[in-house]
Amino acid sequence: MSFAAVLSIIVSMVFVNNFVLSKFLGLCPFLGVSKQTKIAAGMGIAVIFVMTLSTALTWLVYRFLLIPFNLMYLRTITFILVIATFVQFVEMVIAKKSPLIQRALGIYLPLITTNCAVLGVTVLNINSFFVNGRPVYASFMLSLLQSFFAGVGFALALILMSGIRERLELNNTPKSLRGIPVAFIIASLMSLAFMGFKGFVF
Amino acid sequence: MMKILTAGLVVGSLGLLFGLLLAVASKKFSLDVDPRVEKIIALLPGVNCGVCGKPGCKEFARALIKDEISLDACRASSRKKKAEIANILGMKK
Repeated sequence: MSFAAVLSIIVSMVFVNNFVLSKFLGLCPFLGVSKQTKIAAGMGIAVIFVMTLSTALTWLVYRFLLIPFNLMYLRTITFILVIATFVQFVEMVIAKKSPLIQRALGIYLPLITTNCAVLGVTVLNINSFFVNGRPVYASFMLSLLQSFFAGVGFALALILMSGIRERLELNNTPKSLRGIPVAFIIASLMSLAFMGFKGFVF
Repeated sequence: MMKILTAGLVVGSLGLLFGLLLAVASKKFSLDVDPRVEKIIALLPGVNCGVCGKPGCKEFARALIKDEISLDACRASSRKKKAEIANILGMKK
């Protein structure tokens, strides 16, 4: 695993192929949970956590269950099953064991259960780090790295958006655009701005 | 035929395993919660859209119980369901 490859994954996931602003995945929480920066940051951290761990699980399921049985075409439904179970399980454990983490992170977990960004990153990992049904060199570590930074990219987009929306509250927006409509316009402008990173990939 | 059987068996047993795991976990890690919260969650659409500003329907239900948020904040729920929720909360029509 060369340093350049690692750096390329990081830059690609956080900026160039940002999950929200270039791939348009996970738009629902992007518009829903971006009203306050504090909530957005909590959501971002929860997404990073879930993305990384569900990647670890789905990678193992794919490598040791789906490939041996030649069931690669059932990838999507199996991954949905794994992610949903995992998130529910973590939520239960956290709710019981640590009320502190529950308050900081747990409330965002149900929101992530069926988030397409999480499913997207697990599928992307399989596409990038398996060749003809075989894992490439350091496939597992690269998958974890890719999903962690996909989560970072998601958190970045969410926090940027919430910052803009917080300031927007104080502005005199036309009445018909107040709230969600202007948020959509901002989202599209941010997406345009992130298109400036295209051509960065090396 | 064999292919269909293996597919059904593998994914089916995976689902069964996960189901059992969650069933055991929900028993083991059960918490005492306000029974009204469960009822309201069942009545909410459960799409977790976040339009109300709360992260998820569950949090919205909790906020409703604590009287922190208006029921009108939920856009996805139908009028009929909202009336039922209002009933549980003991609001006036």
